[in-house]
Amino acid sequence: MNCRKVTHLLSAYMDGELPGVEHRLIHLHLTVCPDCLADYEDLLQMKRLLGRMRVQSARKDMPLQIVRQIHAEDARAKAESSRERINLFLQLLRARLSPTQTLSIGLGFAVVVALYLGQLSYAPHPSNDMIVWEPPLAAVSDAGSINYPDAERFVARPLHTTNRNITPVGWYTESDSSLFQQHSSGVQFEKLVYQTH
Amino acid sequence: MDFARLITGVLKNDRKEFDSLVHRCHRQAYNIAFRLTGNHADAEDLTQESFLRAYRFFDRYNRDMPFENWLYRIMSRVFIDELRKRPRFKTQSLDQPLNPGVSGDTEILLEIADFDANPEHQMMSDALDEHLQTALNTLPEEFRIAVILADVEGLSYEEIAETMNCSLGTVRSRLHRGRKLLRSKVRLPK
Repeated sequence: MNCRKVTHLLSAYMDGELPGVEHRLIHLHLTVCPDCLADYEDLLQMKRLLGRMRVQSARKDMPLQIVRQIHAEDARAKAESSRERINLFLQLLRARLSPTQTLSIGLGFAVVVALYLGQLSYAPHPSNDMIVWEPPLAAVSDAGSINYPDAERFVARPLHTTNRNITPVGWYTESDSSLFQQHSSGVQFEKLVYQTH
Repeated sequence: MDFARLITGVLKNDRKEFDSLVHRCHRQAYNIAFRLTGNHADAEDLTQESFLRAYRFFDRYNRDMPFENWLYRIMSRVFIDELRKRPRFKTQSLDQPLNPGVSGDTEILLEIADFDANPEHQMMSDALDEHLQTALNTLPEEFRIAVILADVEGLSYEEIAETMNCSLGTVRSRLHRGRKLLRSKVRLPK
């Protein structure tokens, strides 16, 4: 193997990424060629220097910021999706439809409403499980606000509840998430505490 | 099961999993972002944008691949995209002297202290980091990514190929050329 070919393979040789035969050939070449050996040692030294560079640390609140951005993006996507649905509905209303088409759509709509109302009236007895909550970080609504110790003021919105006799009075923190324990301003609330009237 | 509740549950689980991944990987990701961009402000932007994109495409994430590697793949693309869109990330031309104005030489090399001769200075100093970073900043982005993934993050060629979406041969070539360029900019102790 000549010096030119060895030079091309030195980097992969150093990383242990060459097949056995090539690896051995280069190893042999380095024992007899001081120029290639010097190149190899330079490469090795550079690799070591790069590997010993100090680890750069991010700001402590960076993970929390990322999580907040993600939650905000989710909230934006949901709002966008609702707007699109409303626009579609408005476009449908504006469209010129024949009486038969209008009747069909009206009937379809009536069926959907009837099914929805039927589902509500047959809903099982309300329990804690029946309440689904938007994570407080992304929520904005009129359902009231809470003030958790050492936490920012969050507003929570029930996405779905079947029991109007339940009033939320507080939240427990999630015990197994060190992220949210570490950053008290980003406490994530998991379980609902409620009182019945 | 109530459809709204089902969807909310799935989203919530994904988000919960992703939140813990952010917490677990942000330090490593930030360090790589810093080495790619060479400064804290851009490293922060790059890390945040990479995590955001990862979240958007989280349903496509194949769990057989380490999350960090998948994130580096996204980070590499964001880095290259951003560089091409707006050269906001600080880069240095290969033709440009590394320390302009220090001397009149056309070719200025970075001097690296001999650690063996100065055992008390063996710990990497800020100045040395800065010199190496300046040299890294001169590399074309694809060479820079390959060198950082191999030498800073310690990924294998196969992992780098997967991360950079290229062949093993391309990884080998990028590393060879990247290191050669880097070597030409840094004067090592004899």
